[in-house]
Amino acid sequence: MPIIAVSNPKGGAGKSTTTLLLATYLAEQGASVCVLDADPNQPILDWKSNGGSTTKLEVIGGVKESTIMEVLDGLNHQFVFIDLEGTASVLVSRSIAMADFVIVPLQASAVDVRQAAKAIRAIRDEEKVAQRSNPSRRIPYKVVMTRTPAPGAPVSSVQRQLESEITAAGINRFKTSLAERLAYKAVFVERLSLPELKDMKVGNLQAAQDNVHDLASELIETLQALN
Amino acid sequence: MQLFSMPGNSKHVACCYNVVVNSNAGEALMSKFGLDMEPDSTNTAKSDMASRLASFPPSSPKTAIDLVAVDAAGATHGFISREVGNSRKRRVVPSEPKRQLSIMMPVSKYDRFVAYADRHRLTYEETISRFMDRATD
Repeated sequence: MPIIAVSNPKGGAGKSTTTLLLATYLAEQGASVCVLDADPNQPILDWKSNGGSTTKLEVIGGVKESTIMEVLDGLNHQFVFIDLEGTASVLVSRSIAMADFVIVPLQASAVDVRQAAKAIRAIRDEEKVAQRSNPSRRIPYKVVMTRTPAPGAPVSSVQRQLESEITAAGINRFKTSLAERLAYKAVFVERLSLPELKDMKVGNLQAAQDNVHDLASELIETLQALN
Repeated sequence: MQLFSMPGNSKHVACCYNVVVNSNAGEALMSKFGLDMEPDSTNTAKSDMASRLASFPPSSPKTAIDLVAVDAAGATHGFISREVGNSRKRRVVPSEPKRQLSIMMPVSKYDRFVAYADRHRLTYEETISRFMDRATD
């Protein structure tokens, strides 16, 4: 049921990584999951089409601003993720308007934060537009910190400052962050899901999987609370 | 035979065969000495997640949204069309002498103005004319 848009107008924030890790995890748990690859580079469609993963995840590419609504209306999955492009576009704003929940990946950098703020302002305005016809309509969102140091590693002062400013601004944030991990890079290099990397030397695979499990659990908990 | 003594009760003999079935492998893990075997937490977590996911029904068609309003709201934050093929190629045949108007404006307003013109397939002149026609003062 939930349509989950993953958005940050800043390229390289970790949108495709976040989308693919969550979507493949949920698919592995038995859910029916579809990813709309709305990134012009089509990274997830490439991953699915040119890789050897046996995931049941469905990926639809070539989504455009004129077709997004029709594509979404034709889907019948438990979870639909929209991996959005790293730019401020009509496709992004329409996807946000159609979403039940928005994930905003965010690295600890000033540029990421400013662009993420643009996305959050757009989310809030699209919510107001939607409420003109349906006062109960909400477009909730949460920021997820990406490329953070692995647990136990030093956290930069920039990240600490950013996290405290996010909290002070009343912006919702996932407690779980996605750490910078070799395994996540390997997912795209090898075009396999995390569990499918088990026979390769890709860093601490178990820790990487646990990280995704924690984030997915938090996402499910959040979505269940919205119903 | 006393295989494992419980504190405070020297006469107690624990039954020492605790059998825990590993649901993954189907193997029986036997402790001769009454040691507690922790249940496989990985399997518990997986079955918890599976049951949580089952509460999500497949997606249903969404109600129609007001695309003009959605696009206008997005345009105020710089979310404009980036798709190839949307370039403007409209020509207007002048019917009276013209003068040029150069305007500097914030990027967000510029993007919003251009997005409006593109959406309604108007030249900039036609867009300004429309706005003036609709202005009541």
